[in-house]
Amino acid sequence: MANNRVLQWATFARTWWIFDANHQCHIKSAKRIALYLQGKHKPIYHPLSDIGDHVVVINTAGISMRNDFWRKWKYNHHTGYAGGHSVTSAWRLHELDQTKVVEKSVYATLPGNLLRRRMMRRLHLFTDDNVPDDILQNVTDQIRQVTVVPRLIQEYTQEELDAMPKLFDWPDDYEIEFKRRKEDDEIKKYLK
Amino acid sequence: MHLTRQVLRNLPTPYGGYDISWKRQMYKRLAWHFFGRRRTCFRIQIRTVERALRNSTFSGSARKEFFKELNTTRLEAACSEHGVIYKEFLKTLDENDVQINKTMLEKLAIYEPRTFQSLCDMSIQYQKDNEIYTKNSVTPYGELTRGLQKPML
Repeated sequence: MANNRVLQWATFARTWWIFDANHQCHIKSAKRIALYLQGKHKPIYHPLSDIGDHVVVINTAGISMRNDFWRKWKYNHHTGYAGGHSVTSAWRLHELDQTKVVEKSVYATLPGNLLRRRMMRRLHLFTDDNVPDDILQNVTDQIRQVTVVPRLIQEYTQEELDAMPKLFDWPDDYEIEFKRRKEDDEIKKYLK
Repeated sequence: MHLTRQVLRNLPTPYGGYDISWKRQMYKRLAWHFFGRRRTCFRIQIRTVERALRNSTFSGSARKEFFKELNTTRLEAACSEHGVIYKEFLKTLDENDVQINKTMLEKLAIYEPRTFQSLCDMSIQYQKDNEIYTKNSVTPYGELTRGLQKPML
């Protein structure tokens, strides 16, 4: 066969994948993204050969965390000098940069070898759906999401809510929606 | 070195003990690739040579573990391309008396992908017939994700 030489080109080609991070756990999705960045989804995988793919992650602003981990999950940083230690909670980091939490968790799951920085350069993070066309035209396939996206209570119709079995009714002043406390001077001094 | 010393090497010397220079020669042969005083001075040389001989025994088990892990990652990847779980795939091969080695399966997946695909199809069909088929968590190629709000493709 004359095209035997050409058949392997597709095997070694770098493909582009897309991942929707909306309502996804950032740790579980980082484990899945890291497989594709390392090339562990290919049967020709070897830890020393650089055969990882590109991954485009969209909707990183909408990632989720369990329980109250937004408040309790901390990111430590030390400058190396005395008194250079700083602790940032996850919600604070997410306010500063909405792609940072996913980036940090993917960086932590990748193996700590010399290929790590090169693999991280193939991770493209976007806060929402708007991806530039020069990136989106390369994408050929999707990565399956980690969890099923839940329906918000506002999305249910009144008929469905009435059909749901209930033990009791909520009081009228009960707030189902999560609202953040207003920033006053006492909170602001802790943020700095 | 004097030729007669070769004859007299195990005989007792006049000042007690026996000639140890032959034993030192042995360590010197093993320490040719060390640097500095580890190669030249005997008392430092013997420590490093003995440690190197001890460490050389680890590689036998470590190499086996490495290739075993590599084999499983490669075969899991190859199975997930066709939507089969790796463990279920091995079970179905065993139940149908397909006697192919894991290393040979790996080589089939790399060099003869169509042969491997036919094996995967066979195992899926077998699982469907016996009603034990569960889909792999990793998506096969070309399948849309359920939760994606705005389909891109």
